[in-house]
Amino acid sequence: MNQARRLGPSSENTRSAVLDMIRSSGTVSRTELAEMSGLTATSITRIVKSLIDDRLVVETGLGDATGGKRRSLLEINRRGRYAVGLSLDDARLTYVVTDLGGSVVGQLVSPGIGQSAPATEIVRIADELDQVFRQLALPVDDIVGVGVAGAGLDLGAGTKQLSLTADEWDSFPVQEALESLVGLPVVRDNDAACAALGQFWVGRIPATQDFATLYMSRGFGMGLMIGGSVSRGVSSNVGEIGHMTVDIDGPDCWCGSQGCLEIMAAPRAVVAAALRDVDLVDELGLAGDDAHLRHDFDAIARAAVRGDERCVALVERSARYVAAAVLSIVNLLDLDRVYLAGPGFADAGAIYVRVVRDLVTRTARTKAIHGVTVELSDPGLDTSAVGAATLVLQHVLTPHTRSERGVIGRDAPVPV
Amino acid sequence: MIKSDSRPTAGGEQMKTVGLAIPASSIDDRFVATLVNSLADPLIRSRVSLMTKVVDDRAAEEQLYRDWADVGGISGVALLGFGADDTRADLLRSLGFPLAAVVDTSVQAEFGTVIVDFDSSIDVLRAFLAQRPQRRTVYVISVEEGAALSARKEATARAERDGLFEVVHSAPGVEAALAAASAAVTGEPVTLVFDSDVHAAAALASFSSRGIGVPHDVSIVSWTNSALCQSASPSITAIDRRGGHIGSLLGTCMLDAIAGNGVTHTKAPRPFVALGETA
Repeated sequence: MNQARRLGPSSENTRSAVLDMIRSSGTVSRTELAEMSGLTATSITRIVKSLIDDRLVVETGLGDATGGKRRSLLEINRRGRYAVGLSLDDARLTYVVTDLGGSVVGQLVSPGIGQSAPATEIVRIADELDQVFRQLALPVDDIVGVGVAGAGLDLGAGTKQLSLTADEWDSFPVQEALESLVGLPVVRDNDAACAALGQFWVGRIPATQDFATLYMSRGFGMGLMIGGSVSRGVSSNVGEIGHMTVDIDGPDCWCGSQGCLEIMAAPRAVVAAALRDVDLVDELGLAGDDAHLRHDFDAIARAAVRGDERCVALVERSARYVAAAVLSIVNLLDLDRVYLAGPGFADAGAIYVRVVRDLVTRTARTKAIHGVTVELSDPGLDTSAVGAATLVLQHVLTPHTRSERGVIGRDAPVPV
Repeated sequence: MIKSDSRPTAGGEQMKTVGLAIPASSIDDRFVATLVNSLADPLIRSRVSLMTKVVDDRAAEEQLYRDWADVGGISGVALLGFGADDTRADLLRSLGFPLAAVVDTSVQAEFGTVIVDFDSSIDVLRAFLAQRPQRRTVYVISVEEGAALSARKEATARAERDGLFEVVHSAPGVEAALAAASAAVTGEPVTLVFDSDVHAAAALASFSSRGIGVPHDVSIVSWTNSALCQSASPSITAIDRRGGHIGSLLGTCMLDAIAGNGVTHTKAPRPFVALGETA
């Protein structure tokens, strides 16, 4: 049972707060809701009726008698609404559909955006969303929205500029374009923040547990969960760990700085180092061009896992820079839990975990006070897509606490 | 018959999609998750998509196939856990779907298959335990009834009769598995084998917090290798049943099926022990 949460009588979000109480309680009676919320029994009865009428809540049976008649119990109607999370990646697009309880009901994986033009890809995405709805037999009226997870900065120009994975996407209005094509609200966030939210959701981590998720795809991002919410910062850009300087004398980075984590340790840096070994290029069939970056990096990572000493050295060098960055974050924020997530950790994640854990365990400033858990997020699970769906669900279930950086579609109200 | 096996894209490309039903009882199984993740790899390289849907039971799964035949856009269907006397292939053929499946060794199929030999997993465990100090071994199984293939059940029963391990069945869920594991620890050193990596990790945490030494007092082996096993501290020794490789083979089989190429039957690669620090 949750602790009492007093709701103000003029709260515009009372209905959604009651809905969230029902969701987080599992099953709950109207009397208990009144006790938890501080609302009158009459108000609770009225709000619950509207939630049942909207198929967001169902009555599930009768609770134990407490002197009088047995109280009917309420729970969230898991199949009353659905949310879609889309992970935009150059190698594959992953669409995850979750129900109101956050359980995955279906998924579509399709070829990634690669080097294709955004204007073409956004039409394909709209087409594939329609495919998802039809083939999973989901009524469009029951879809609360689409969450989109991609890499990059929020440049502070409204919905005009969201860097995703390539330069061309910088100036492409993903949110507006997708909303106009599919007619559903679209929320967007960076993949690292979504991965943290997805980890929080699927890992059933208590809201009191703060943690960071380091996400590696082409570059790096960091999602920070504080008190059960994604931490945002002044311009919603918390977590640009890829541009943390880890070598002040390192090579120039495209961001204007030097020796950034991304330029020292991201898959492109690992592949670039491998390309200097002609024998290795030949043995692993490395292509060396940008279009095959994921293929090349995965080949090196798999060879490292098999024990190829040259590849182990390459991956461990990358991991040491990652470890240095993680150590700084742990010291700065006094964290006791860090997850490594994203496709970059899919094959050689165990090597990264070992190197990061070793450094943090030996040298974290707080080592005498508490340990730091470093875990690998399961690569079989696209936590950023699940997190993107969760963003949409949160928008519906807890708009009174929502923290996503995107603005929900102005002309498409959330169907609560 | 299916309405259409592909759909046009904005670029005029005919995009094909393979369908896959995942039993709800397997949704948290990391072996299945890894298999499905890798199944998509060869498909995507050939610009074929993968649609998956979670189904509650066999009736819902069969209804899904009828729905897909009705709405169109599914080019073929991949099947998991196909055993003897399985009627799904007949249904899919009647609906006009090409298919491929992960099957057990008892199946003689006319469609493309990846053949999993459960006895080879048992053999790998047997060889591993033989290299360790002899101690009682208990296999804690919490797979839901109906979710396990008969071939797997038979292989497990044979190994129990041979004295490789004792089998303890627990109700689904971490709490039940932990209770079963605790009951199996009687003071003498014991090896616990869990079919779920989550249960193995929970047992590791539980025993460690209670001052029970792992692996000195209790050795822990997970029947499922996963990121959780690899990144646990200490890392958990696990049987890697090659879910990623099996998924990739199934994807190739599926591409052959929808292209109308010849039928292939491929043996799944032999499992191996991913050596951790708990056994």
